[in-house]
Amino acid sequence: MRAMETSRSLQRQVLTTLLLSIAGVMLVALVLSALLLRFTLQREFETRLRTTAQDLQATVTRGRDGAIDLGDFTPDMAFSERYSGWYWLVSDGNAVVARSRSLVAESLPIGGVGETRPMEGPRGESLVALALPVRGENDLSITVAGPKSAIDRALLNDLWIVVGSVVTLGLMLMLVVWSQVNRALRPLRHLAEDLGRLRTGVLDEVPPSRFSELNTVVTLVNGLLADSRNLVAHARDTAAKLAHGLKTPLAVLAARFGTGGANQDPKVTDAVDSMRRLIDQNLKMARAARASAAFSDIVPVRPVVEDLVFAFSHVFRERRLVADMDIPEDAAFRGNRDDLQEMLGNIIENAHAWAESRVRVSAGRNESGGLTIAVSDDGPGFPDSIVVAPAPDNSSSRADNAARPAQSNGLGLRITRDIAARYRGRLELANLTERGAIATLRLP
Amino acid sequence: MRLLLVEDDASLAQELAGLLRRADFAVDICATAAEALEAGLSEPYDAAILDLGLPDGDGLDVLVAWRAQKSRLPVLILTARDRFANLVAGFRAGADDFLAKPFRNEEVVLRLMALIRRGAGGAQGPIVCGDLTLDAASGEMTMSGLPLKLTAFERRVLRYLLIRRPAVVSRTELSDHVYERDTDRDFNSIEVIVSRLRRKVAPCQIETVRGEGYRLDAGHGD
Repeated sequence: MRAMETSRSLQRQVLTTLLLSIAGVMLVALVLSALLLRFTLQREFETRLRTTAQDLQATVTRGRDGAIDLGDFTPDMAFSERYSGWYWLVSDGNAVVARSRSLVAESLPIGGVGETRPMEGPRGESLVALALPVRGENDLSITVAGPKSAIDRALLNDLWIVVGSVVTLGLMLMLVVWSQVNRALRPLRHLAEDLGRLRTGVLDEVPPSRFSELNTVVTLVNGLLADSRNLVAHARDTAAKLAHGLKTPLAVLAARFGTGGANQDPKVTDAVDSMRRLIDQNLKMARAARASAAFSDIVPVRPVVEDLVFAFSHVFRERRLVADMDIPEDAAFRGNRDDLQEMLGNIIENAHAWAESRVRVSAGRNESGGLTIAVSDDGPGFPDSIVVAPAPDNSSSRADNAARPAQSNGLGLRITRDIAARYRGRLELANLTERGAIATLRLP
Repeated sequence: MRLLLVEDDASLAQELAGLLRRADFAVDICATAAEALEAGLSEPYDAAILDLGLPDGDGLDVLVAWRAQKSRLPVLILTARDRFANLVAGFRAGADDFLAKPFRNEEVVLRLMALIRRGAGGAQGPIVCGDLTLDAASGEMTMSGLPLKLTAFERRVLRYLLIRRPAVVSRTELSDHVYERDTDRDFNSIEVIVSRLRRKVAPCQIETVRGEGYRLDAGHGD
């Protein structure tokens, strides 16, 4: 079944959403921080104005002669710099009676006692001013002003710290999110890999996950798999039972209508032969289809070969064949014993059927650690038409037609090839230089 | 030649028994493992055809039990179970041959004859005694190349003498191997049959060895 093709990625979607959200939160945090900073700076600015004004308010007096005495009022240096924007003045009604050095000879708009208010300075600059009355001197008032630009300068000076902090925090958060999303999706990727291995037959079932959320999926998949296997096994068993069940009635027909039977009829015998071939073919194909590398026992090769050679030495007893075996004790097949027996049975039977006098079975490990089992005979060899170099994927192997001169229909070799392919192995057929044939089974 | 046919399917057993009788075998049928076990050990069969799936047990267990009792009865397994594992298990249990159902009639007869001859120490090919020849495959008997006209019972007797040749065959042994289990045995009938055969197979001779039985001889000083 083909997977639905989609360019959407869960990882990309989650990351995009989270990173954009973080960026948005960063932006909001930045704006709020800037506003807060500005508010704080403005409060600080106003406090400075008020402190200066209160200092002046506390020290300024009018002498008996009407002269204004500033007492020990000592404003900071900014009030001394010419047109610095930081100004103070003492007014008597509308007349200025004292002023800061920074005002030189200029004045400030007078009025609005008690609250800070914006105003324009002597040079047209924007100022914020605070006016306070001098206690006990009804006509006297104090005005202290500062440049509004001082707030903006301070804001600009401090804003980079805020921006730096928010951006650093945001980037760290993004990094954590990116790593956590990747980490969170890793079990999902492992699950996908396990499902892939399950499909190729390396795994028998999906292994449990360390995460409860995925274990639910694993349990469901394994349950579905078990159901599916049971269904297939049931169908195959039913087919096998049906096929087996048909063999006895067919044998009755063969006995009744065959040579020497009660009602000899070659047409019925031929039909029975056809049905037998069909049943054999389907049963064998079903066995090949059931072969699976997932059931990986360690099966020693030697006893399986010994059993088969023993059996075929009886089947072909009249031929008086000599069978040699060169199989190391430790040669083992990773898979199902029945599958190994089915693969070897076909090629060993084939060798016995066509050998003149000798059959040889050898096994060993190749350079890459794979198992190689070779079965050779000194018979007439395979027809040239089927001896081909097998493709790596076994697809062009002509074991389908692997018949020795006439007779055999090659089903056995085809079954061997099919089962080998299920184990990612292959069957190679070749003729020997002298006389005879060799069938080589290469298994991982 | 007398056969034990162990088959639980009544239709197949009847067809197969009919086929084998037409091929000049005396056939006893057993439908259960218990019955087969007892018959195989108590009766002097020349060969047995053994089905594996029996209603009260596995045919292989019967075979193992026979072999455990030192029975050398040639056994042909005839089964629907045709996997290599079944083949191996059959021969490991002591079977002499293995044939999957459904089968060709001639193949069953041929394999049985091969088993019986091998059991009697004979070689392959036609059985020859002077001018008398038995084609093991077709069961046809000829004298000097011409078909020999014999009744079914005559063929059974002559074939047994041919296969056991040059041994002397007692009348008891002969009756054990040409009569079926439920048939009344009559030594006089055997005497009559042997007398008729002597005329039909001449110059081959069926000698009477006093106190021992019969022996088939090629004549002409063979």
